[in-house]
Amino acid sequence: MNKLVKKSIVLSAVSIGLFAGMTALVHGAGAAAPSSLYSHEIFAVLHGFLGLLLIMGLMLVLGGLIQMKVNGNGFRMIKVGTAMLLASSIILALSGIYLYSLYRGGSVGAPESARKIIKASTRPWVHGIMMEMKEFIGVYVPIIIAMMYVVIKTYGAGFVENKKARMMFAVLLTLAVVWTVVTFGLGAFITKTVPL
Amino acid sequence: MSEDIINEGKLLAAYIGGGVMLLAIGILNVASELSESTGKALELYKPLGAYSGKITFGLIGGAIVWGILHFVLKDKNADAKPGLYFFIAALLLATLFVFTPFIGLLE
Repeated sequence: MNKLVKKSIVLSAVSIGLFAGMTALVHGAGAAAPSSLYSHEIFAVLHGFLGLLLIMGLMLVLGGLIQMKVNGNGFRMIKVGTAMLLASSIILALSGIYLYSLYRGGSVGAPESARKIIKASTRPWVHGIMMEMKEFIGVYVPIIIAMMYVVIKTYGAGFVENKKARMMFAVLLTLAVVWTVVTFGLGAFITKTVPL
Repeated sequence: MSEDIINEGKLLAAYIGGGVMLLAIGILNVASELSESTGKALELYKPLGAYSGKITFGLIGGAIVWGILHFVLKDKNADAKPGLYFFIAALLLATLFVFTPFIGLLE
Protein backbone atom coordinates (compact mmCIF):
# COMPACT_ATOMS: atom_id res chain seq x y z
CA MET A 1 0.00 0.00 0.00
CA ASN A 2 2.88 2.28 0.90
CA LYS A 3 4.43 1.69 -2.53
CA LEU A 4 1.12 2.39 -4.21
CA VAL A 5 0.77 5.73 -2.40
CA LYS A 6 4.38 6.68 -3.29
CA LYS A 7 3.86 5.72 -6.94
CA SER A 8 0.62 7.74 -7.05
CA ILE A 9 2.37 10.83 -5.64
CA VAL A 10 5.29 10.54 -8.11
CA LEU A 11 2.91 9.96 -11.03
CA SER A 12 0.75 12.96 -10.04
CA ALA A 13 3.83 15.21 -9.70
CA VAL A 14 5.19 14.08 -13.10
CA SER A 15 1.78 14.61 -14.73
CA ILE A 16 1.40 18.11 -13.29
CA GLY A 17 4.99 18.93 -14.33
CA LEU A 18 4.31 17.66 -17.85
CA PHE A 19 1.19 19.79 -18.29
CA ALA A 20 2.78 22.86 -16.68
CA GLY A 21 5.81 22.43 -18.96
CA MET A 22 3.62 22.03 -22.03
CA THR A 23 2.04 25.44 -21.51
CA ALA A 24 5.39 27.05 -22.41
CA LEU A 25 5.00 25.55 -25.92
CA VAL A 26 1.67 27.31 -26.46
CA HIS A 27 2.00 30.13 -29.00
CA GLY A 28 2.06 33.53 -27.30
CA ALA A 29 2.21 32.16 -23.77
CA GLY A 30 3.23 34.86 -21.30
CA ALA A 31 3.40 37.62 -23.92
CA ALA A 32 1.33 40.76 -23.42
CA ALA A 33 -0.79 40.61 -26.58
CA PRO A 34 -4.61 40.40 -26.69
CA SER A 35 -4.59 36.77 -27.86
CA SER A 36 -1.96 35.62 -25.38
CA LEU A 37 -2.17 32.90 -22.80
CA TYR A 38 -1.50 34.69 -19.52
CA SER A 39 0.06 33.26 -16.39
CA HIS A 40 -3.16 33.72 -14.40
CA GLU A 41 -4.98 31.65 -17.04
CA ILE A 42 -2.46 28.85 -16.56
CA PHE A 43 -2.98 29.27 -12.81
CA ALA A 44 -6.76 29.01 -13.32
CA VAL A 45 -6.33 25.82 -15.35
CA LEU A 46 -4.13 24.32 -12.62
CA HIS A 47 -6.75 25.36 -10.03
CA GLY A 48 -9.42 23.44 -11.96
CA PHE A 49 -7.05 20.50 -12.44
CA LEU A 50 -6.34 20.38 -8.70
CA GLY A 51 -10.09 20.45 -8.07
CA LEU A 52 -10.50 17.42 -10.29
CA LEU A 53 -7.62 15.68 -8.47
CA LEU A 54 -9.39 16.42 -5.17
CA ILE A 55 -12.54 14.67 -6.40
CA MET A 56 -10.43 11.70 -7.55
CA GLY A 57 -8.61 11.67 -4.19
CA LEU A 58 -11.94 11.56 -2.35
CA MET A 59 -12.89 8.56 -4.48
CA LEU A 60 -9.55 6.92 -3.62
CA VAL A 61 -10.30 7.32 0.10
CA LEU A 62 -13.77 5.89 -0.52
CA GLY A 63 -12.05 2.94 -2.22
CA GLY A 64 -9.86 2.49 0.86
CA LEU A 65 -12.97 2.48 3.06
CA ILE A 66 -14.58 -0.22 0.89
CA GLN A 67 -11.36 -2.25 0.82
CA MET A 68 -11.18 -2.04 4.62
CA LYS A 69 -14.73 -3.37 4.84
CA VAL A 70 -13.89 -6.26 2.47
CA ASN A 71 -10.54 -7.50 3.80
CA GLY A 72 -9.62 -5.31 6.79
CA ASN A 73 -6.80 -3.51 4.90
CA GLY A 74 -6.80 0.00 3.52
CA PHE A 75 -6.33 2.03 6.74
CA ARG A 76 -2.99 3.43 5.59
CA MET A 77 -4.52 4.47 2.26
CA ILE A 78 -7.30 6.24 4.15
CA LYS A 79 -4.89 7.96 6.60
CA VAL A 80 -2.36 9.14 4.00
CA GLY A 81 -5.14 9.93 1.53
CA THR A 82 -7.02 12.09 4.04
CA ALA A 83 -3.86 14.03 4.98
CA MET A 84 -3.14 14.65 1.28
CA LEU A 85 -6.74 15.70 0.69
CA LEU A 86 -6.56 18.16 3.57
CA ALA A 87 -3.35 19.74 2.21
CA SER A 88 -4.64 19.89 -1.38
CA SER A 89 -8.04 21.28 -0.36
CA ILE A 90 -6.32 24.10 1.58
CA ILE A 91 -4.09 24.90 -1.43
CA LEU A 92 -7.17 24.75 -3.65
CA ALA A 93 -9.13 27.14 -1.41
CA LEU A 94 -6.22 29.61 -1.20
CA SER A 95 -5.65 29.56 -4.96
CA GLY A 96 -9.40 30.02 -5.42
CA ILE A 97 -9.34 33.09 -3.18
CA TYR A 98 -6.49 34.55 -5.28
CA LEU A 99 -8.41 33.85 -8.51
CA TYR A 100 -11.52 35.43 -6.97
CA SER A 101 -9.58 38.68 -6.54
CA LEU A 102 -8.84 38.59 -10.30
CA TYR A 103 -12.47 37.74 -11.03
CA ARG A 104 -13.55 40.83 -9.08
CA GLY A 105 -10.85 43.26 -10.09
CA GLY A 106 -9.74 42.10 -13.53
CA SER A 107 -6.26 41.11 -14.62
CA VAL A 108 -3.57 41.70 -17.22
CA GLY A 109 -5.13 41.40 -20.67
CA ALA A 110 -8.68 41.72 -19.27
CA PRO A 111 -9.63 45.41 -19.07
CA GLU A 112 -13.04 44.56 -17.60
CA SER A 113 -13.40 42.09 -14.76
CA ALA A 114 -15.26 38.83 -15.33
CA ARG A 115 -17.65 39.87 -12.55
CA LYS A 116 -18.50 43.13 -14.31
CA ILE A 117 -19.04 41.38 -17.66
CA ILE A 118 -21.34 38.75 -16.12
CA LYS A 119 -23.35 41.32 -14.15
CA ALA A 120 -23.90 43.39 -17.31
CA SER A 121 -24.84 40.34 -19.40
CA THR A 122 -28.24 38.70 -19.93
CA ARG A 123 -27.32 36.13 -17.28
CA PRO A 124 -26.36 38.15 -14.18
CA TRP A 125 -27.52 35.25 -11.98
CA VAL A 126 -24.30 33.43 -12.92
CA HIS A 127 -22.61 35.89 -10.56
CA GLY A 128 -25.56 36.69 -8.29
CA ILE A 129 -26.31 33.08 -7.38
CA MET A 130 -23.58 30.76 -8.67
CA MET A 131 -20.38 32.71 -7.94
CA GLU A 132 -21.76 34.09 -4.67
CA MET A 133 -22.33 30.49 -3.57
CA LYS A 134 -19.14 28.97 -5.01
CA GLU A 135 -16.80 31.45 -3.29
CA PHE A 136 -18.08 30.22 0.09
CA ILE A 137 -18.76 26.51 -0.34
CA GLY A 138 -15.26 26.13 -1.78
CA VAL A 139 -13.96 27.21 1.63
CA TYR A 140 -16.33 24.80 3.43
CA VAL A 141 -14.63 21.79 1.78
CA PRO A 142 -11.28 22.01 3.69
CA ILE A 143 -13.26 22.36 6.94
CA ILE A 144 -15.19 19.13 6.20
CA ILE A 145 -11.96 17.32 5.26
CA ALA A 146 -10.31 18.64 8.47
CA MET A 147 -13.10 16.90 10.42
CA MET A 148 -12.36 13.66 8.52
CA TYR A 149 -8.70 13.99 9.50
CA VAL A 150 -9.58 14.57 13.17
CA VAL A 151 -11.71 11.38 13.15
CA ILE A 152 -8.70 9.41 11.84
CA LYS A 153 -6.34 11.03 14.39
CA THR A 154 -8.75 10.40 17.29
CA TYR A 155 -9.24 6.69 16.65
CA GLY A 156 -5.87 5.83 15.10
CA ALA A 157 -5.56 2.14 14.20
CA GLY A 158 -8.72 1.49 16.27
CA PHE A 159 -10.62 3.14 13.39
CA VAL A 160 -10.70 -0.21 11.55
CA GLU A 161 -12.58 -1.96 14.38
CA ASN A 162 -14.80 0.93 15.40
CA LYS A 163 -18.14 0.97 13.57
CA LYS A 164 -19.13 4.38 14.93
CA ALA A 165 -15.85 5.94 13.72
CA ARG A 166 -16.27 4.39 10.26
CA MET A 167 -19.86 5.66 10.06
CA MET A 168 -18.87 9.20 11.06
CA PHE A 169 -16.02 9.15 8.54
CA ALA A 170 -18.30 7.85 5.76
CA VAL A 171 -20.86 10.61 6.47
CA LEU A 172 -18.15 13.31 6.34
CA LEU A 173 -16.64 11.78 3.19
CA THR A 174 -20.05 11.86 1.49
CA LEU A 175 -20.50 15.53 2.47
CA ALA A 176 -16.99 16.35 1.20
CA VAL A 177 -17.70 14.64 -2.15
CA VAL A 178 -21.04 16.44 -2.62
CA TRP A 179 -19.71 19.89 -1.66
CA THR A 180 -16.56 19.44 -3.82
CA VAL A 181 -18.52 18.27 -6.86
CA VAL A 182 -21.00 21.18 -6.56
CA THR A 183 -18.11 23.67 -6.19
CA PHE A 184 -16.33 22.13 -9.19
CA GLY A 185 -19.51 22.19 -11.29
CA LEU A 186 -20.23 25.84 -10.45
CA GLY A 187 -16.61 26.76 -11.23
CA ALA A 188 -16.76 25.00 -14.60
CA PHE A 189 -20.04 26.74 -15.49
CA ILE A 190 -18.79 30.19 -14.48
CA THR A 191 -15.54 29.71 -16.42
CA LYS A 192 -17.54 28.65 -19.50
CA THR A 193 -19.64 31.81 -19.21
CA VAL A 194 -16.70 34.23 -18.89
CA PRO A 195 -13.11 32.98 -18.56
CA LEU A 196 -10.76 34.95 -16.33
CA MET B 1 -15.50 -2.79 22.29
CA SER B 2 -13.02 -0.02 21.52
CA GLU B 3 -15.93 2.43 21.26
CA ASP B 4 -16.04 2.57 25.07
CA ILE B 5 -12.30 3.18 25.48
CA ILE B 6 -11.69 5.99 22.97
CA ASN B 7 -12.07 9.48 24.41
CA GLU B 8 -14.03 11.55 21.92
CA GLY B 9 -13.68 14.92 23.69
CA LYS B 10 -11.19 16.28 21.15
CA LEU B 11 -13.38 15.13 18.28
CA LEU B 12 -16.44 16.76 19.84
CA ALA B 13 -14.45 20.01 20.19
CA ALA B 14 -13.46 19.77 16.51
CA TYR B 15 -17.04 19.25 15.35
CA ILE B 16 -18.32 22.20 17.37
CA GLY B 17 -15.38 24.43 16.35
CA GLY B 18 -15.78 23.47 12.67
CA GLY B 19 -19.52 24.03 12.88
CA VAL B 20 -19.02 27.47 14.43
CA MET B 21 -16.59 28.36 11.59
CA LEU B 22 -19.21 27.47 8.99
CA LEU B 23 -22.06 29.20 10.83
CA ALA B 24 -19.99 32.33 11.45
CA ILE B 25 -19.10 32.62 7.74
CA GLY B 26 -22.77 32.15 6.78
CA ILE B 27 -24.10 34.60 9.38
CA LEU B 28 -21.49 37.24 8.46
CA ASN B 29 -22.52 36.87 4.80
CA VAL B 30 -26.20 37.41 5.62
CA ALA B 31 -25.30 40.37 7.88
CA SER B 32 -23.19 42.05 5.19
CA GLU B 33 -25.86 41.51 2.53
CA LEU B 34 -28.55 43.04 4.76
CA SER B 35 -26.47 45.92 6.12
CA GLU B 36 -24.21 48.01 3.93
CA SER B 37 -22.22 49.32 6.91
CA THR B 38 -21.47 45.74 8.07
CA GLY B 39 -20.32 44.89 4.56
CA LYS B 40 -17.96 47.87 4.55
CA ALA B 41 -16.65 46.98 8.01
CA LEU B 42 -15.81 43.48 6.77
CA GLU B 43 -13.74 44.82 3.87
CA LEU B 44 -10.25 43.92 5.13
CA TYR B 45 -8.63 43.59 1.71
CA LYS B 46 -10.00 45.72 -1.13
CA PRO B 47 -9.51 43.30 -4.08
CA LEU B 48 -11.65 40.73 -2.23
CA GLY B 49 -14.19 43.15 -0.75
CA ALA B 50 -16.30 42.05 2.24
CA TYR B 51 -15.50 38.41 1.40
CA SER B 52 -12.07 38.87 3.04
CA GLY B 53 -13.61 39.79 6.41
CA LYS B 54 -16.33 37.12 6.27
CA ILE B 55 -13.80 34.33 5.73
CA THR B 56 -11.13 35.72 8.09
CA PHE B 57 -13.45 36.41 11.04
CA GLY B 58 -15.45 33.22 10.45
CA LEU B 59 -12.34 31.03 10.49
CA ILE B 60 -10.76 32.86 13.45
CA GLY B 61 -14.01 32.73 15.47
CA GLY B 62 -14.40 28.98 14.88
CA ALA B 63 -10.71 28.35 15.61
CA ILE B 64 -11.00 30.16 18.97
CA VAL B 65 -14.07 28.07 19.94
CA TRP B 66 -12.28 24.90 18.77
CA GLY B 67 -9.15 25.78 20.77
CA ILE B 68 -11.05 26.56 23.99
CA LEU B 69 -13.24 23.44 23.74
CA HIS B 70 -10.19 21.31 22.91
CA PHE B 71 -8.63 22.15 26.29
CA VAL B 72 -11.94 21.89 28.14
CA LEU B 73 -12.99 18.55 26.63
CA LYS B 74 -9.68 16.78 25.91
CA ASP B 75 -9.73 14.71 29.11
CA LYS B 76 -13.52 14.35 29.34
CA ASN B 77 -15.35 11.21 28.36
CA ALA B 78 -17.63 12.69 25.73
CA ASP B 79 -19.80 11.31 22.94
CA ALA B 80 -18.94 12.93 19.60
CA LYS B 81 -22.16 11.95 17.82
CA PRO B 82 -24.20 15.05 18.87
CA GLY B 83 -21.23 17.13 17.68
CA LEU B 84 -21.45 15.52 14.24
CA TYR B 85 -25.17 16.33 14.08
CA PHE B 86 -24.36 19.93 15.01
CA PHE B 87 -21.65 20.06 12.32
CA ILE B 88 -24.02 18.73 9.63
CA ALA B 89 -26.77 21.19 10.67
CA ALA B 90 -24.20 24.03 10.63
CA LEU B 91 -23.00 23.01 7.14
CA LEU B 92 -26.55 22.96 5.76
CA LEU B 93 -27.42 26.31 7.37
CA ALA B 94 -24.14 27.90 6.27
CA THR B 95 -24.83 26.77 2.70
CA LEU B 96 -28.35 28.20 2.88
CA PHE B 97 -26.94 31.48 4.22
CA VAL B 98 -24.78 31.94 1.11
CA PHE B 99 -27.62 31.13 -1.29
CA THR B 100 -28.66 34.61 -2.46
CA PRO B 101 -32.34 33.82 -3.25
CA PHE B 102 -32.72 32.86 0.43
CA ILE B 103 -31.11 36.13 1.58
CA GLY B 104 -33.54 37.91 -0.76
CA LEU B 105 -36.41 36.56 1.37
CA LEU B 106 -34.95 38.30 4.45
CA GLU B 107 -34.60 41.73 2.81
